[in-house]
Amino acid sequence: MEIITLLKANIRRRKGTFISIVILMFIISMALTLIFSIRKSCDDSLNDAYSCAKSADVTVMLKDALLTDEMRQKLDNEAIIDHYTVTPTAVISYGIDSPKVSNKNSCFFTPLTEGIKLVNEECNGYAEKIPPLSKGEIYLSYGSKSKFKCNIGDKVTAHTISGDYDLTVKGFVVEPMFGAMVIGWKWQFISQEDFDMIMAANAAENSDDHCGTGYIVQIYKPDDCTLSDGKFRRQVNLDTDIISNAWGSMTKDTSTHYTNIYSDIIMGILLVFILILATVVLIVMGHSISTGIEMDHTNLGILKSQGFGNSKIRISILLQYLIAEVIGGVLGIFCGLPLIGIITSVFDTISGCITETHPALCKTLLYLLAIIEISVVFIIITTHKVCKISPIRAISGGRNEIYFDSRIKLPISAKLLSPTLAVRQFTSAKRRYAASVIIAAILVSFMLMSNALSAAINSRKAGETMGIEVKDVIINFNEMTQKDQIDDIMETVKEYDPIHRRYVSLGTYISLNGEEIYCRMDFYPEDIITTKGRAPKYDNEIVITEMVADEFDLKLGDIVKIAKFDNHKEFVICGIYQSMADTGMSTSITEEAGESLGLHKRTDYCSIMLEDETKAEEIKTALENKYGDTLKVTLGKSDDENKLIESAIEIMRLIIYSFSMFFALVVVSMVSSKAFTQEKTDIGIFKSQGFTTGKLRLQFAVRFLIVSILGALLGTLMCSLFMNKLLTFLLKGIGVTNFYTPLTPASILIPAAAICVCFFLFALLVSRKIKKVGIRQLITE
Amino acid sequence: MKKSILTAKSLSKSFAHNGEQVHILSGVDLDIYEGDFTVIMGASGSGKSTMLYALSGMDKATAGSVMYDDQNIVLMGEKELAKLRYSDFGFIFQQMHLVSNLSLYENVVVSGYLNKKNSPAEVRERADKLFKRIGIDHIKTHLPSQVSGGEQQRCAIARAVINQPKLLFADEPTGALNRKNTTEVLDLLTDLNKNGQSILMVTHDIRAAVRASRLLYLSDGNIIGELNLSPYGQTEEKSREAQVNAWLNSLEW
Repeated sequence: MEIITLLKANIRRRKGTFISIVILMFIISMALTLIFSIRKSCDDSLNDAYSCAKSADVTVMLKDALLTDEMRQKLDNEAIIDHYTVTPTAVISYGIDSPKVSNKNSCFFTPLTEGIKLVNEECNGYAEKIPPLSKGEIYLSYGSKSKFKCNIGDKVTAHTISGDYDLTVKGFVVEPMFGAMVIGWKWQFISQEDFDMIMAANAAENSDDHCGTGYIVQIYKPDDCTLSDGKFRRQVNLDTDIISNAWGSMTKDTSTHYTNIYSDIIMGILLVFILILATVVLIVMGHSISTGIEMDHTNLGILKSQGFGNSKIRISILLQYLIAEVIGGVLGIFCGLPLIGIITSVFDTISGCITETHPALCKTLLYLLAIIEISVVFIIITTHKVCKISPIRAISGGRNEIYFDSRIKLPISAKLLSPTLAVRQFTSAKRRYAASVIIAAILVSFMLMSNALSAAINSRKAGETMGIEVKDVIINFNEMTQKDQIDDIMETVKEYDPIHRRYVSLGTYISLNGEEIYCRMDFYPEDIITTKGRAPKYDNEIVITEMVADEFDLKLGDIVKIAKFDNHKEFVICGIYQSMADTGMSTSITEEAGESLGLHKRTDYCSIMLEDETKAEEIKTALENKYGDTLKVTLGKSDDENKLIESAIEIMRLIIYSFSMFFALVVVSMVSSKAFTQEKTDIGIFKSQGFTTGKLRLQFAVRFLIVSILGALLGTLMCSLFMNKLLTFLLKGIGVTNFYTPLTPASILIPAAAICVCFFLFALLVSRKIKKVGIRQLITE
Repeated sequence: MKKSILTAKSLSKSFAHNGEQVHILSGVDLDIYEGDFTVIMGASGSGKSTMLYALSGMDKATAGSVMYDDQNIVLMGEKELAKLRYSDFGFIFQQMHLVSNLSLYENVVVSGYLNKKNSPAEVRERADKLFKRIGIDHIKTHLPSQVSGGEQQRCAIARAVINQPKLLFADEPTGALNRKNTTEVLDLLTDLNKNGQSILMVTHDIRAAVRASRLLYLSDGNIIGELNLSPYGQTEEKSREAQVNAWLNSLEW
């Protein structure tokens, strides 16, 4: 009972601290609820879609001629395959054009298959039934809605080897294997009538160079198979050669990785940020407890003299913070729940899946419990100070001096009286402000990190270093084009501006030591920038990314077995390079090497990075004038996928900035309130000497400005030491193995200045209380 | 004819306590004269310190006026009061109240720097002289926590007079000091008064009271007695003490 009485009194007397801890825990709990629930919702919804559509563990796209009886027999005999299905498909080799977007990625058309779900008109759930398609109608996968910028009723044109077909969008369906926006290939659905017509027309046009008919082979593992999807695919390929012969394949794991790639990265960064903010809360609590004990020295001495033991006093302090944490935690969960659906809907068009809300309460509670447990240990350690209080010494005023002599003693200047006094207040109570400096440093470093990320997306140099293709001019050819024609285009471009880099290649999937891997047959391999070794020159040389090297334990000089269709050849790894193609799992060879693997030296797409990006518009006009209808030129800056990623990064930056500002507000309020209480007498003394409230408030706020400047410096240092490693770790998922920091003075100064201004203004705001301090409290009656 | 430098008329101060008005000062009328060493005495809780704070503008009176230099202190705003504190009034507290993270010297010069009429060099020169005069020159770089109570109070006096105030207020300046330190502080104040410094001091210590040239007695929020003495040093201390004691006894102290 006595503990409860003490606890109630403590909470009443320290309402500000109590509320601050509730708010900080509220933010952390809400953020954790959102992060885990969004991840769970995305995963669960995708898994539901997989099971509904009966998606296979490995889906292979294969030229129809290559699914021979022999291949079928191999598949039938393969012990690790449970079963497989074969679905004929019409290949839309040259992509689909919508009224707004021209897309060159291949598509695969089939009639509607079992288990495919139709997205309702509001795009927030599924329709109960999926109406059959009539002639001329198409169901597009949901990821195509944003990729093609089209809506129900729009006309789209499918470009096949047998000609163009106009189709009307009847609706959007969830096809989970290839549905994500980041996946190039798409599986779309048309009526049986249209399908038969296109298949027949394509079959008539099939040749060695072109193939418009194929099969989608869906291979399933037995339920008791312990192999990962990747290993399962490798084993199947080693035994049957089906992947080596295929246009490409997709495992369920890879599809999940691509589908959730952006939500995973953004949530990963936010999770690290939130967990570090939890550390900030611990620092704030430690500071609050420590100064609280210092200020309550006499009262605690009185309590001890009345028979309160150390443990009772410590329990009352512990409970005070514990209750605040629990209240904040519970409130955070309740307020986070309604937001899950709103935020997941943002990722729906990227993932191509309708995400149903599945709160991850257990995981959130586990994390919150872990945070609370750590804080309990922390509080127990911090309250150890209570044991050192002697009742007699405390009551007789034997309190330790709050201030300490400091070696950093700047003289008090007459001209800069308030600032120099502020410096003195800071240097003589360094320990009190150390926690605030660390907090400011953490906030600044995260703001810097989000700036770096944003700058990396927008910086040409950074993008190039990290393997992002910086495209100023994008050219789509109406027909497959030979290299000599492309050379001619490059010469035309050079008349206007020197070319910095050419991205001209034919992308395909090859088998590397039995593993399916993305490979580019580069028309200008000399433009490849390697981090180790050199670019490929000869027809038996290959460059691989660091991720491929790590994944398959390969190094420079190693010999690898490459297979494509029926061609098998040994290649030597001549270089390691950085590329984000196929999320970093990418390789590159010369066109001669590609030819030796049966690939044709033609492409329908190329892009150029100019020395001067401002010339892009002029070059676009020149190319269109010279080459007319044979090609379509677009400018890189209008690339929708880039815009989407930029917006996602900007949203994350906004969240980090707002959280940082809010934390700065709460932290400054808490720390300055304590400082204010401790210095009430000093404020009274200064007032009695003729200092005005304005001067004292300025003096008070300048101290926090010093704190924030030191924090900003420390934060910048922390950032320069750890940011690249942390971001490389977090961004590995999209193929960045070497994060390049394009930090400029402006990108450092902006967050540093933002935190300094916040600390200064918030301290100035809190210091309003100074007005209320009267000299009366110095009176001893 | 003495010249009044501070005039209080119907000065009242009351507090609300548990919903009831408690009157500490009940319409005090008072003049403080230039060059005087005025001492206010009274029993504990009689409102001595409250009156001192109300007269010095450190605390707001509930009613009445305090005229200084034709201006009513009670009606002054924060900036005017601040100016008054660093230019015309000096204040000594019972508990010294030095800023604990400033050295003794810095405690004094900071108050001097506030008055822009003084150049920084002037302030430092005056502070140096004061430190020598009050005998704490050798410890001027020490922090308040590193010196004795008497030394702290001497520093507080130096701080109060650094701006050469017209009137020096002292609230039981010897209340927290031992006998030796008390004598030293009182000698210092007496010395200042002899050099023309007007002082208004609150005390309940007879040894401090005998230093006064004018004694006032406060009871139940009103001045009920006044005793004028010859300047300190002109008469023997014992007879002076007897005179003050007799006066206090007559007031049932």
